[in-house]
Amino acid sequence: MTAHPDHEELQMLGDGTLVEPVESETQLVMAAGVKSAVAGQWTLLLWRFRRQRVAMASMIVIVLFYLVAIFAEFLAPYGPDMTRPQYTYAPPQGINMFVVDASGSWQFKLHAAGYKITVDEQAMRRTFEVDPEKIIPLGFLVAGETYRLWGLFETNVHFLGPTDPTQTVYFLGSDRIGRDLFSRLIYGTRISLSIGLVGVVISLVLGIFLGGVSGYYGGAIDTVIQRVVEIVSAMPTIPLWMGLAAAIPLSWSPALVYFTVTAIVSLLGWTSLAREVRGRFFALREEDFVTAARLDGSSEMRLIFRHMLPSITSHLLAMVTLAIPAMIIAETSLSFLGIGLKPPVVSWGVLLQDAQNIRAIANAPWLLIWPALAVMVSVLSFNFLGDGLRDAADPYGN
Amino acid sequence: MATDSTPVTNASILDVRNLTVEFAVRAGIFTAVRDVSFTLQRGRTLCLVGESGSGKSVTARAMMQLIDAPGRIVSGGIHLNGVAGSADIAKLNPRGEAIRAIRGRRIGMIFQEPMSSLSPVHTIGAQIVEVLQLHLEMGRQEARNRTIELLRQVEIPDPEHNIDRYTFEFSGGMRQRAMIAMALACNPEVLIADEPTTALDVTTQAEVLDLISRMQRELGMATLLITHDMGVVAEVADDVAVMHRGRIAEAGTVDEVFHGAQHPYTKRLLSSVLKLERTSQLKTVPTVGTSIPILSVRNLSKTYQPRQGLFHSRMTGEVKAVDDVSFDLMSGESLGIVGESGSGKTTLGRLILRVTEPTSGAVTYQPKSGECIDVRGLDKRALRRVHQDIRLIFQDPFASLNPRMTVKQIVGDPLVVNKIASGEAMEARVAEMLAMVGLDPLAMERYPHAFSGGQRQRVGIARALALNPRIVIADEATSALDVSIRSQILDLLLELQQRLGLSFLFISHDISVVRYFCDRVAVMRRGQIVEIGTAETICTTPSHPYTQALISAVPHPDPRHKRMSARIRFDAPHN
Repeated sequence: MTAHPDHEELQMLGDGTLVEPVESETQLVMAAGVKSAVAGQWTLLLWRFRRQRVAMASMIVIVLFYLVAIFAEFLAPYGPDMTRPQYTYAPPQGINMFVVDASGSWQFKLHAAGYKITVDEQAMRRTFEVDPEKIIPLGFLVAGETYRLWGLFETNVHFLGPTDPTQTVYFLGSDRIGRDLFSRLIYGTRISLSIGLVGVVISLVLGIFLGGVSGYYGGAIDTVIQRVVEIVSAMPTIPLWMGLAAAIPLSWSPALVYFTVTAIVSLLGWTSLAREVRGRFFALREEDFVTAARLDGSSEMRLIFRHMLPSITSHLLAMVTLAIPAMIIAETSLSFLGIGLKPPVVSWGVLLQDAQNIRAIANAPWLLIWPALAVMVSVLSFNFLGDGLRDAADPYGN
Repeated sequence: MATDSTPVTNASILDVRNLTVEFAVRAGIFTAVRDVSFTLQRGRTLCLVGESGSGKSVTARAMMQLIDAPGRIVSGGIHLNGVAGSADIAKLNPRGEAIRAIRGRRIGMIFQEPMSSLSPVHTIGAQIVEVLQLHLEMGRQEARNRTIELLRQVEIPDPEHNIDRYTFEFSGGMRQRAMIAMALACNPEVLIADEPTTALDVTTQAEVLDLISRMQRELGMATLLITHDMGVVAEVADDVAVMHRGRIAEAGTVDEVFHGAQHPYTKRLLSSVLKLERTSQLKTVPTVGTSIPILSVRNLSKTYQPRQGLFHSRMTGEVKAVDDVSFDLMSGESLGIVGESGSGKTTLGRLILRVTEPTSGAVTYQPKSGECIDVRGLDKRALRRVHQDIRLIFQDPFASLNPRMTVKQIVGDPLVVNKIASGEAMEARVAEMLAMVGLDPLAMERYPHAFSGGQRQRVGIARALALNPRIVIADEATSALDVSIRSQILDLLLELQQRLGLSFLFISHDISVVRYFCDRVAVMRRGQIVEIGTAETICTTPSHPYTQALISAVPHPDPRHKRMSARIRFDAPHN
C-alpha cells in the first residue's frame, strides 16, 4: 500500500540491457532490447538457458544417451545375449587408429588389438592378454548378426564392428559367460532411461492435478488433499515394492513386472510434486494478474489453463528433469539388490549385479566401472540440466 | 530541524569527493553513481533526493562499503573526519576490520524496511545489546541498561518490558524506532537514513521524522537522509542535493533549491510535486447528473474469523476489515477513499466487485437502463456482466500484467472472453485503446517486461477501459510510480474520465493525489468511514479529529511553510 520507488533501481531487461527510466513516459524503450521486447517466455527461457554452459553440455550428453537408447540394435556390435564361452572375463580391447606396416611407417587403419590366450592347466582357466601384434580390422556399417531395428526393419548392418564377422571384439570387455559388455551397456541404456519415465509421467499427472486442485480451491478440499499427501508420504516404499514384486504373477515378463511395480510405486511418488504445485497455485491465485483475468470475465478453466498453468510450466519442466535421475537411481539400486529388474532383461542395474562379488571386481573391474559410470554420467547430466532449467525458468531472474 | 536553530559550525564530518560507482553487467558497464560530491556537516541534515534509479541508494550504500557485487567504487573518496580520527572509506576493504569499526560505531544506518532489517529470531533488546557489546565492549548488564535508555529516548513506551519482545510484535513505526535506537546506540557521528519513512503511514512518518530530527539535535550528528518525497525534504532538510541519473543535478540549501531552482530537472520535479498540491486544472465542475448515484454501498461489512486447529475448524476471535460502510458514488464523479494501511480501503474495493465476498450489507449498481442491480445477489454469469461495467485498476504495474502474455493478449483478453471481439476486430480495438492511453499501437506484440512502470500502468488502464466500463475502481493506481509519472497518469485518467464519462472510485493513501483527482473524499479508519465530504473541505477544513491529524501530518513541499511541526496529534483509544 506504500510506494517502493527504489525497487526499479537497476532494472534489467531479459537480455541484460539496463533501462534507465525514460524521460517521456509515452516514448517506448526503443534503444535497447527490441528483440527481447517481443520475446515470449520460451524464447527468454532459451536465451537464459543457453548462457549456462554446464547445463547446455549436460543436455547434449542426455540427447546422446537417448540416441544410443533409440538406436541400440544398430550401435551395438552384438546382441545382448550372444554368449561365447571361450571368451569369459576377456579384458577390454580398445580401439586403435594406426598400424605400423612392414616398411615401419604409420598407416591409418581402424583396428582392435587381439588376445593372446594362455590356458592355465591347473586352474582350468583361460587368461587373456591384449596383444598389440594381433590386429582385428574394424569398420563402420559392417555386416554382423541379423536383427530387426525397432522390431520393424530386418538388417544386419552394425554401426561399428570387425570387418570379418567371424572375429570377435570386446571394446569394454566381456562378462562371465563371454557376453559383450559394450553391447549390453547399450541395450541397458534403453531400459534404464525409459522405464523410469513412466513413473515420472504418472507422478506428474497426479501431482499437477491434485496439487492444482488443492492450491486453487483451498479450504476443505485443500485440507483433505494435504492430509492424504501426508499419509501417503509416510508409507515405506521399499517394503511395498518388494511385496508387490512378489505378488505379481510369475508368468509375466520381468520387464512388465518392473513396469507395473514402478507404476504402482509412482502412485505414491506424486506427493512432493503435488505440494510444490499447490504452493505455486496458492501464490498465483493471489497474484494481481490472476484477479485481473477473473474480473475480465475468464472462466475457471481459462484462468487455470491460460493464466496460471503457463506461469509454472517452465518450473514443472525443471521439476520433472530433476525427478528422472531419482527414477534411474531407483531402478539401478533395486535391480542391484535383486528386487527390481531381473535377467534376462538388460539394464544398468542388472549389469551391476555381475559386479556383486569381490572376485569379479578383482578379475574384471570393467564390469563395475562401465555400468557405474553410465549411471553417474546420466544422473549428473539430468541434475545439471534440471538446475539450469530451474534457473532459466525464473522470468525476472538475472 | 529548523535551519536557524542549528548552531552553525562549519565542521564537515563526512566529505564525499567525485564518487563513481559502476556495475559490471553483461551488456557492459553501468555507471550508477557518477562523479558525486557532497559534504555532511555536524548538526545539519542533507537530503539526497531523486526518483527511482537515480543512484541515491547506491550512494548511501557506498558510504558504508555495502555495495554488492557486481558493483564497485571505481574512483573518488569518502573522507570521514571526526573526533575519532580520519579515514577514506572508499579505500577500505569491504570485509576488513577497519570498515567494521566504522559501520554502526561511527556511521549509523537506518533502512527503508524495518521488518527485513531487524532479525525476526532475536528480541529487539538482544540486537541492540549485541551492537553495544561489539563496538563499545560493554558488559551484559551495562549494555542492557543502556538499551533500555535508548528505547526510552526513541519514545518506545514501557522500554523495560518491550526490550524483550520480538520484531513481529512491534508495529511498523515501533520497528523503525527500534531501528533508530540501534543506529544511534554508539553515538555515531554520521547517521544515514535510506528512505526511513517510505514504508510508513503519514502520521507515523511525521513522528519518525520528528524523532530523527530531535536525536540529531541532541547528539549533534550529521545526517544524510535519502528520499524520493519532496515534501519530506522540505520538512526536514537543511541542505538538498538532487540526484538524476547518477549525477547530482543541483545542490544547495533547502530554500535555494525550492525557491530558486536552476537545473531544468529540479524545476520539472518541483513543478510535478507542486502540481499535486492543488486540485487539477483539468477538472471542470461536474455538470449533469451528479445527483444520480450510479453505485450505492449500504452497511457493507467484512469480518474475518481466523481459524485454527488440524482441520481449521476452531474459530478464534474476529477481525473487522470493513465495518458498516455506506456511501454513494454519483454518476460522473470521482470519489476518493483515503486511509492508512490496514484501514480496509483495498478490501472495500474488492468487496464491491465481490473478489472478496462481503459478510453483510448491500451494493447496488444502476446501469444505463435504469433498473437497480443488487450486486450481492447475482449469480456468476450476471456478476460477469457487472464486471464489464465496473473495472479495477491495480496498484502494482508489475504484478498485475501476466508476464507470459503480450500486450495484445492482455488488453484483448477481456474482449475475447466476453465474446465482444476477436481476431482482427480485437486487434483494431486494442490498437485504439493503446492509442487512447498514449502508447504506440505497434507495441502490442511486446511483453510487459519491455515497458517501464508508467507504461505498464497505461497498459493496465487500457485493459480496464477496453470493455467500455462506466465505473473504474482505481486501487492505489499511482502509488508505485515516481512523482513525475504519477501526475502524467492522473492527467490521463482525468482526460479519459471527461471523454468517456467515467465514474471513479479512487483508493489511495496519498492525500495530495486524492486532492488533485477527486471531487469528494471519504476518510477510512479501522474499517469505518469517519468522514465524507468534498475534496476541498476534507483537505483544508476537516471536521473529524482523525482527518485533522491525518491532513496535518502530510509533509508540505515548501520549506517556508512547514506543516508537520504544527501538526495535530490524534490519540485514539487503542482497542
